[in-house]
Amino acid sequence: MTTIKATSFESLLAALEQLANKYRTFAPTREDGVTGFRPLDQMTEEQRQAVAPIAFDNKPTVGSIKSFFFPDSETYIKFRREGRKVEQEALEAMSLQIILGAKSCDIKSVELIDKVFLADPVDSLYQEKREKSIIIATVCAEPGKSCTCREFGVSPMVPTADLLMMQGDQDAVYLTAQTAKGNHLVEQLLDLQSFVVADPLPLRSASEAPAGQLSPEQVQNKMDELFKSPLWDKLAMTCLGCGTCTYYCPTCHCYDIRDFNRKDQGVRYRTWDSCMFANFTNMAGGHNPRPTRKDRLQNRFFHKLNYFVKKQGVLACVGCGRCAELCPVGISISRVLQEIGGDIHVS
Amino acid sequence: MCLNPLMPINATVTNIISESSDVKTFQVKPETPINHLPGQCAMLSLLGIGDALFSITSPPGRDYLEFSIKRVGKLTEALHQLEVGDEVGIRGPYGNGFPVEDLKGKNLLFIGGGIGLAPLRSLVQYTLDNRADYPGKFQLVYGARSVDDLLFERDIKGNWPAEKDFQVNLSVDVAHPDWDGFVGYVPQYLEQLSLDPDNTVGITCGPPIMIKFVLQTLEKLGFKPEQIVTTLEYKMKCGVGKCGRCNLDEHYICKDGPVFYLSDLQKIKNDFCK
Amino acid sequence: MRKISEELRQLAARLLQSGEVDLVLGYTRGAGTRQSVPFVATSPEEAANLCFDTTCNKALSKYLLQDAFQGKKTALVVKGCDYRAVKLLLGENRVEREQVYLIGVDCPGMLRERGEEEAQELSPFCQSCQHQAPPADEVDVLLTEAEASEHRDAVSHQEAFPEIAAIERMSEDERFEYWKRQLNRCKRCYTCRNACPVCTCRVCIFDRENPDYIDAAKDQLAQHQFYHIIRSFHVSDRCVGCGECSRVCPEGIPLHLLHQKLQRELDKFYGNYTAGVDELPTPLSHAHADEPDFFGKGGK
Repeated sequence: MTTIKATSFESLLAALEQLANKYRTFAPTREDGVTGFRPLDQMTEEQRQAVAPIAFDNKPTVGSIKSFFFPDSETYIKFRREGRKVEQEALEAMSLQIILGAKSCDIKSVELIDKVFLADPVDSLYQEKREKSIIIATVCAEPGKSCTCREFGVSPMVPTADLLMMQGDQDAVYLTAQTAKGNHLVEQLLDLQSFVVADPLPLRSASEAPAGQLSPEQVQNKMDELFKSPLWDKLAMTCLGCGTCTYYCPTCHCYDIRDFNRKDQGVRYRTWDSCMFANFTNMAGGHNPRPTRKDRLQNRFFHKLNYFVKKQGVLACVGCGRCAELCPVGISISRVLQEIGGDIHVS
Repeated sequence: MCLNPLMPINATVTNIISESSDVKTFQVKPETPINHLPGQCAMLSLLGIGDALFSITSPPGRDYLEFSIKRVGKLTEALHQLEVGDEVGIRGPYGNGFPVEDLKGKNLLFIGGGIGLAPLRSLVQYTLDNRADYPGKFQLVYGARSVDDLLFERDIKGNWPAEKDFQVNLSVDVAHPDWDGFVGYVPQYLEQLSLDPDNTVGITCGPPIMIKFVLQTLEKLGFKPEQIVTTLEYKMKCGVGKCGRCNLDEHYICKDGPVFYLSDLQKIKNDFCK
Repeated sequence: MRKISEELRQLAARLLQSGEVDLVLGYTRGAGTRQSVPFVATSPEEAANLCFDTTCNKALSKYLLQDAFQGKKTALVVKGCDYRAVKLLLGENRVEREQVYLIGVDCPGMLRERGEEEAQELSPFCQSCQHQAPPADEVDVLLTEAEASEHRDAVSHQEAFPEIAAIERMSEDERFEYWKRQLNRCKRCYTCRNACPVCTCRVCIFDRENPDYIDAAKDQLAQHQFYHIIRSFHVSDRCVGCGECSRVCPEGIPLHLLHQKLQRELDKFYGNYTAGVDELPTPLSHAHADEPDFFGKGGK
């Protein structure tokens, strides 16, 4: 696959802007101190300058890239009512998009969501966004402070993505296509003449320290053993019952379907939902199979570390560290793995 | 690109039967036929209000689907306002349905509580339609809160008792001057009915608390877990095992259920009767 | 905070040993980015994990409303602001005094959490705090440092929250754009609400099943405005100044500015009121016939 090189990060951004009539580019930047992806065409100069340092930082953005494929809210029916008749209206078509500067962990997390949303019956809302997106991954120089990706078999240095982006000397940027979609973009960038074909930069994967990788089966078994453990009560005692862990987790994908209407028109949309909310399982008649915070917290960690393994063969965590960074009371996957203890690593 | 599985198709309401003060049965004809198995469900929706999963109460092989719906919330309230000729959205069928192959040649004991008779009715009607495959004895034990809450009166008091080898036992929780049948809860009634587990499968559907005690009672009466089939009901949204809310361990009730053998439920870690 | 931590551990162990309390709710060392996290000690041995320092910023009193704390006598570590929140719970009959053993701590102020360069600076709430320690006669015990604690000269509200004046100076359009940018990041994770020690409704109006008045869509600015402004009206008169709302927000939305600004306005209309210090009811939880009418035709 081809590798191309531009002399500066700015020339990459400028080239992507030239493709704006075909692709909408999103890149990580900072707004009021918080990192996140924003459309390149809506950034201030200051935000544009912040893209490269954040993209190459050894840490994912606060919000994950899952929202490009599974938006926090998406309308799939628009309707208008006349008398007792309801007419559906056409929705705006989605344009092609480039996600610049995604991290290994986030890319892996989307591959995990694929296992659910692309399984029969295929979620076409999700599939369309997957197909219409090109992901350009950045390589982490080393794992960040809260990162445990390598425990989950994610290599921060070798992301699977349409394109790999690396920093060379003197601000040079290298893009290596890894898929047909990536190659197609490379060809278009070469046509713009700000890029030249180059030799790929060596990946640092060789120098990667061997990390103790978790064994999904052993974690699953350990969780089975601990189903009735007081650990879940203990953790739940300080849980705030908010949705931060789930909304910022790149692998969480629970949703709700809601309707909204005013007068004679309205929408049906799908929106993120959280298994940590009491409403999530509360039925119209008042029955709730997961009535307490303990039930909900336990279900969440079992889903990640046990049920998902049983269904899909892998742990539903990529070690991005967001729960560790964001949970106000410090209840994270890392902490749970520490608490369950035992022999859960690949020997 | 395939079709969005969350997208309903249109169906027309062709008949409405009032079953009790808060339950109505709606007969609908989808614009494209939906072929279901007894025990499967479908999502009914009204744009602007919402959609929810309901079990299909009519048997397969009709050119319509029937849903018996109890008024409990915003959507069901709106469904109750529908008139014949109105349109509703529908998608499905969802879920596994009753194990109709396994039931062939067995004596069938149907145990229902309240609105829980709705999915059983689909199975009862299906097995009656195919009596050659289901030649065994049929028995229905059905209870409701009060005399007025007994649903499908035409079936439970008319059609079914008139069938050959079909015993119907009705009960109510609260006594009534016009009621000379059993007064009490369904599990208590089961204990009095001298049931014979031999070559019999007990199939139950009802409120969670009833199911819990029916399962205990059947086991006490000598039914093996492999001879007990139950339906479970959780809140569901997508119907296709993706939205994440109806899981019991790693199983999604909307997809892997709603029908389970007790022997399978006993392997589950979570309390399925909670 | 060595002395307070030490005394706290000894006291907690003693209370649990004697059975005077079932649980001690306080803080322990956190892992990773959280320097301290809430902790429940259930045995004298576990009491050794308790600690108290300038990172113990979480407001703990609302846990008392959770199922797991019902029917248990709980000893609760309370800073000045925490005690004010407890006082609201007591005054509104949500918690019974006999059910709690209050371990007051003379609070040195909490450090800012966001941004490492700010790490050594006190939170603006603590800079302007006038109630560092709970009143000694209203708690079961008050722990202090060896040195008679050097009480800070609280800076004025204006000095502690210069952003409020800056936002007030903006034009209406600029102000709208400012809040639009901030609130557009909201994902409605409800962390601000759940962490708030005075947001204590039994069923939150935003948790009702399919209400007609609010939409769950996360891409609708109007819905976020609705949520945050309603919440601000529900809590600003009850705010005890712990600073949790902004501290826990994953999107860094300065929610405290809404509440602090509203509190100043309320003071103008109803006179100064300090929640958890002055008597109940709070200004917005009752009405007099002759008070200003914000929403009627004559009001503004």
